[in-house]
Amino acid sequence: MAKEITLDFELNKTNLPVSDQTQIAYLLIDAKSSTARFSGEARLNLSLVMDRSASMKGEKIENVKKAMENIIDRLDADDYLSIVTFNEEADVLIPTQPVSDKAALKEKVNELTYSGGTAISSGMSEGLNELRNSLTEDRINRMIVLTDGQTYGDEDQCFELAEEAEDDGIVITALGVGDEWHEDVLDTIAARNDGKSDYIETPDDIIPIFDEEMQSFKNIVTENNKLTLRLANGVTPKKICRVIPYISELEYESFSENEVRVDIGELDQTQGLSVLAELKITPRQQGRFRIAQAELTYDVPAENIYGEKTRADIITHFSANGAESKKINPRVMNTVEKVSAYDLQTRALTQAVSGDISGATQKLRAAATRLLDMGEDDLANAAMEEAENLEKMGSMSSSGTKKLRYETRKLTRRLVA
Amino acid sequence: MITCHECGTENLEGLLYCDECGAELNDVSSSDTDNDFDELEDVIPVSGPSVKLILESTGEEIVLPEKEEIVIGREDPVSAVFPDIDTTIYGGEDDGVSRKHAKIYRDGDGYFIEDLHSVNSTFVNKSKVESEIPSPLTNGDEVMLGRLKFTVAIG
Repeated sequence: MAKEITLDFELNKTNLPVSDQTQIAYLLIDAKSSTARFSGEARLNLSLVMDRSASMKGEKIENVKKAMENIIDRLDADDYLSIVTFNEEADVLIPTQPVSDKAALKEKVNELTYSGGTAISSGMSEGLNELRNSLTEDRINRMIVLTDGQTYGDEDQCFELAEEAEDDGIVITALGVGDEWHEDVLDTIAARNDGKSDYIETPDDIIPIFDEEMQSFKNIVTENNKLTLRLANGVTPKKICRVIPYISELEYESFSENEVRVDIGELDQTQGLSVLAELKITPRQQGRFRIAQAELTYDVPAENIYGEKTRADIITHFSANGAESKKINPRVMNTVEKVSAYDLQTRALTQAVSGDISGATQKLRAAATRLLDMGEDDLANAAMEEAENLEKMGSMSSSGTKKLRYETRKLTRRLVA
Repeated sequence: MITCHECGTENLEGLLYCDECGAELNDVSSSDTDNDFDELEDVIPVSGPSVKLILESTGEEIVLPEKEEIVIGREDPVSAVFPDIDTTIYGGEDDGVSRKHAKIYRDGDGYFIEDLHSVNSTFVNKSKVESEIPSPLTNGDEVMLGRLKFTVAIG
């Protein structure tokens, strides 16, 4: 049977050096879909849960309306859509339904107005109800939550609802507009079932970010991807990160000493899905060795395929010849550099929160150097500015923190100028 | 083990960035281009044509030191990178020059340039140079590192 998904791998060196010491090797694994196998788009069951608090007034709410209209335009009659709006309370603006009468749906969208405060859980709860009314396994079940403010006192309810969503196979995208919302809350909601959270810096960015999210839903080929690494004796993971579509460190479950598994989310046909593993390898003699076997388990909802598997043997050559073990793989090296920039800013933010100002400042400066090297001048400047803010005022700015936190995740997908 | 130049932490062989401070580690066991930078002072004059790079933006002339191999890049004390030609003062940072961007060397009668896996690439007369593939340099060639432009003057 033809496999729908293939696993490819690359190491940072073509040949690993024979050494009498434990060494680190970087393993980049790419999951790709064969486009010939999947032609149809996945059908969606989507709920938009939108903040309509008083602070959304003006450009924000107007752009949210336009962004929702674009989504309606791109959905088909066999997709389901619901729209929920919330301040302290939630209203179902559009109950879940097939997207057949687009003009009528857009008319409803234009009724959206603003007032009051922010309680995200009220919106999530209604959104979840709507999604459940049209929940089927063969659809891509998604919620997009957008807010511009801190939710007060209902964080725990939000997390419980995210857990319920996970149980139903619903993935949540959590978007924050402007600088007033709390990153940890949105990140936790999204991360529960491996969804994405993102920072929308200005109201102008609302429409493109919605468009991009919508496109990625349409491009989903496989969901529920889990990568298992069966490691040879003497090989242990040091760190595992997803690097495409965006960088995030993955927590891994260990089933035995030689087997680890990570949840890596969905595979978007255009972006792909890649994981970088840092492996500790004990001394080997010269020769070819299988250092690991990678196995991907996945679902293809559009084709009613669940728990399909594909495998790849990770084989490499250990060489005692100095010249041979100097050949590097630029793509892997480049990815490692980006992950290191992401890692430095993550550690800086953690240290800043815990009050280690000098540690955080040092990490931010190191991150700035690395970012400059990569041609990411804008982010490098943000890191330098925040290092100065920390030194002068003892704290970082909200916009700078958000920019660093969310933009460094995307380093692997942006083209360098 | 590799000792971090920045913070002194001992890191496992093969690791690219220090676990403690994040500085780039120069893995001595696997790379030799990293170790040649402390010879800057020992410039030995050799007879033969000299090579100059003329900065397009200001007309400034940079005479290349007489060394077997000249690395052009951006000095970065944090990760202990000290190239032979530091482009920082010529705006290398803004123009996307990598710390170790390219090297120029003499082979027989000719001069060659090689890109060192730079992020923003090396161009000779507007054609991109593949990393680690030598590309000949002749008098009057235009060399671009990222967006930083030079004209080559040999003689």
